[in-house]
Amino acid sequence: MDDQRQPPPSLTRRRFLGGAVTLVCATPVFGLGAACGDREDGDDEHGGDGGDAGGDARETTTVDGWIVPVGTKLSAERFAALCALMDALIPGDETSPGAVLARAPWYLDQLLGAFDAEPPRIFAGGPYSGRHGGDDDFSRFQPLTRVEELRWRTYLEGSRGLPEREWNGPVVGLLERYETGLDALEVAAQAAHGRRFALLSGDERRALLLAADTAFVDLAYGQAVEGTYGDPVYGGNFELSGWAAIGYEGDRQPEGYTAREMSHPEEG
Amino acid sequence: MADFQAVVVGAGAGGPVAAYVLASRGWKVALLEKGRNPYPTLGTSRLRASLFGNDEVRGRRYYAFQDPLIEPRTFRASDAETVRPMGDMQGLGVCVGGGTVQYDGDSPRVQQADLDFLSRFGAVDGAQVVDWPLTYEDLAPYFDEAEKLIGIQGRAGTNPFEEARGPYPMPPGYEPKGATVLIRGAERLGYHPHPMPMAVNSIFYRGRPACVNCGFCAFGCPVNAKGSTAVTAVHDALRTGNLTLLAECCALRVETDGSGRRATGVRYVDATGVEQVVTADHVILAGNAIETPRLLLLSAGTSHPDGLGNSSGLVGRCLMFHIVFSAIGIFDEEIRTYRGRVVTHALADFTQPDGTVDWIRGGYTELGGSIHPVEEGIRYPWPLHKTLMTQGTFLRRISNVTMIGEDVPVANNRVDLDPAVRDVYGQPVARVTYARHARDQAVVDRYTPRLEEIARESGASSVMSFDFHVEEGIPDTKHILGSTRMGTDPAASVTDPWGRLHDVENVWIADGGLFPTSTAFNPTLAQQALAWRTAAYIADPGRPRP
Repeated sequence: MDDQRQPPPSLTRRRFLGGAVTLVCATPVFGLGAACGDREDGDDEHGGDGGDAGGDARETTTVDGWIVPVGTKLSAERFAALCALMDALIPGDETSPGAVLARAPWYLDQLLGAFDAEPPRIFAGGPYSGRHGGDDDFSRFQPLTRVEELRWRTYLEGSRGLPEREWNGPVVGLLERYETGLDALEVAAQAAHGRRFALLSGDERRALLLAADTAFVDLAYGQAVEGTYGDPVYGGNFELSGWAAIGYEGDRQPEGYTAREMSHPEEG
Repeated sequence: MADFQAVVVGAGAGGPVAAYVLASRGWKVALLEKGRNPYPTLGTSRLRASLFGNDEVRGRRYYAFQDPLIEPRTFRASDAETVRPMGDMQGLGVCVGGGTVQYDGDSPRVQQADLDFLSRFGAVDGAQVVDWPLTYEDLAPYFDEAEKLIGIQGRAGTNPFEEARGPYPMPPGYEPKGATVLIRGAERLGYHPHPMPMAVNSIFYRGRPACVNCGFCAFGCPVNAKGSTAVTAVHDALRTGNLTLLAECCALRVETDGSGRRATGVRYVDATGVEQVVTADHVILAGNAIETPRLLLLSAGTSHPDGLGNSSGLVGRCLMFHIVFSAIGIFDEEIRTYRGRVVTHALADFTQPDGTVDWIRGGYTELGGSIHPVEEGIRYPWPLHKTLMTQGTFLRRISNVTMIGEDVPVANNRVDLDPAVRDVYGQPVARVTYARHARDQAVVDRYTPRLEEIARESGASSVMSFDFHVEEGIPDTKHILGSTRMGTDPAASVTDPWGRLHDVENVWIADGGLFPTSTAFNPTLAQQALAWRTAAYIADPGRPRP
């Protein structure tokens, strides 16, 4: 981090190919099952008929060694490839869960199916999560305005030739972008290794990603990060595992922090 | 007869203040806001918590914020360049409260020296520096009123370089460690750090609670401890019964009579997508210094083919963004700047001559800064993610020294209409042309080492510098200023010293576009004081009073 032009909040997106970084290799078949226990705070209690995209009641199956919930927006095979992709971007290891244990792929699935619920699962409610006092307002998603609904339907579903969605020309929907991107990874995996992407080792997957379409990798990385460290109401950060992994407390309202917690953060 | 005595376009920093001043004097006022209203109890007898939450994902999805898909903008550094998408650079809140919803709340006053650039610091080649057409004394009573309405915390007398002033409405709040470590170093170097004047409650104030230091200021305050204009000016104006708030209503153009010398109202798209016209005796534009000139250009008509109020050709020109740059201190000890307000202290030493012959004026300097994990993670290149996130350097061990530098007005730095790109309403979007002037770069070069020195003296084990100008080559400072500058000469300014368009007798501007020069301070409170002053003049041109 010596480079004077590399600090946040604007780290450039330059690729790091050097050997200075040790990337932990995770095996593809790893224990989502262990993390699938009952959640303490049933998140459907206030959620209306919003489905259970982020909940636990969802049945799962195993595809190429990855645990896949039944009824995902992506096909089960593509969802397994998505797990393999997000695991390569944010791997888990013995000290901390990665994107897959945090259910970042489930986060994306909830976003892709946002309009299956009413109100759509785009903007959580407020002001509180209920974890630090107050009610669980987050799970009461907010109705969208006319313009927001148009924007999010266009972004997720694509413009589909509808004039009202093409204020700046045709738009490819998020689902299709993932299908295209994952299929390209499949082709690359077959060409390089003669195996499905979801069955490759972590090293093999990361090597393919370094050579892949950067726009798609950046898209998936952004959503892997959101799904890992975002609020669990969006379907990821399972049991707050993303926050636990980095020692971060998450939301704090209405409790906030005391003067002592601010002046002596080393006390925890 | 018109529907309203005044219609205000934009519920951001300035518009609601103007609306409040008029409504509280009995005027019937409409306030148009294209964004949503995240405050379900606004204007009721008991203001409750907002719909904002401690939730980064909502922020990533542009909740109550300028969404680059809904309202794109384009950018180029020179006329010869092909434009590129501006994304969310310079994005501000799009909701009732506008940019004051997500801002830190930094509310210093501009000083007399800020208003005398030309006479104190001299002309700058290639820049249109001028003096403001008013003095600090003219503004002071409006600062006093705005500070009370918005609710500013601070401690008078702790900034030795500011004009004499009375007490703040509230004392300063708690200091997070990110500030205290830097105060230590700054004081050792002989600087004068002091509590940043902030629009955040440190005590219960006017029906709103004290801040609980949750640290999510940038995502909208859940409990209304922050004095956004929504929970202050708009709420109070609604309580008078004289304000009609039209949220989710996007202005399309200012309508005029045949001569183009008088506005009749504003055409807009309502929340259901239907075009409407609201008529008014006065039209007050407060979109911000990108959106207001865009609206003036979109309002071109047969009598004013180059845009409304644009006989000078200056609408959109002299756009300024401030120059914002930081020294990022990385500490061995735990800091966790995400606990508590983003910035709590500042110093004004660099705005003062330092005795050197080649002195250039620097800006107000903030101590603090914070980041949350989604933003942190996304900034990292993915191959380094696991290592860097586990180290938690930026989440737990940084604090920043950040200068708000004064960029000079340059006529070619401007907003005009993009010929190809449209917003969701079908309107041409703003095209921004902006390049940094050599003098501005000289400020960055001169002061970056000073900021780094403060971080080192405070005990940072390593220090990095960062310039908010380099984000994808587009400045991302959130201080949008100057594009409808005020002045006495109709050939050299867009509005008169009261904010009225020289060309149109009843159209006024109440946002940062009025700034003839950008000043060395965070600009929000000055925008609010100017908006107050303009509204006071509209209400009583013979004898405007705060």
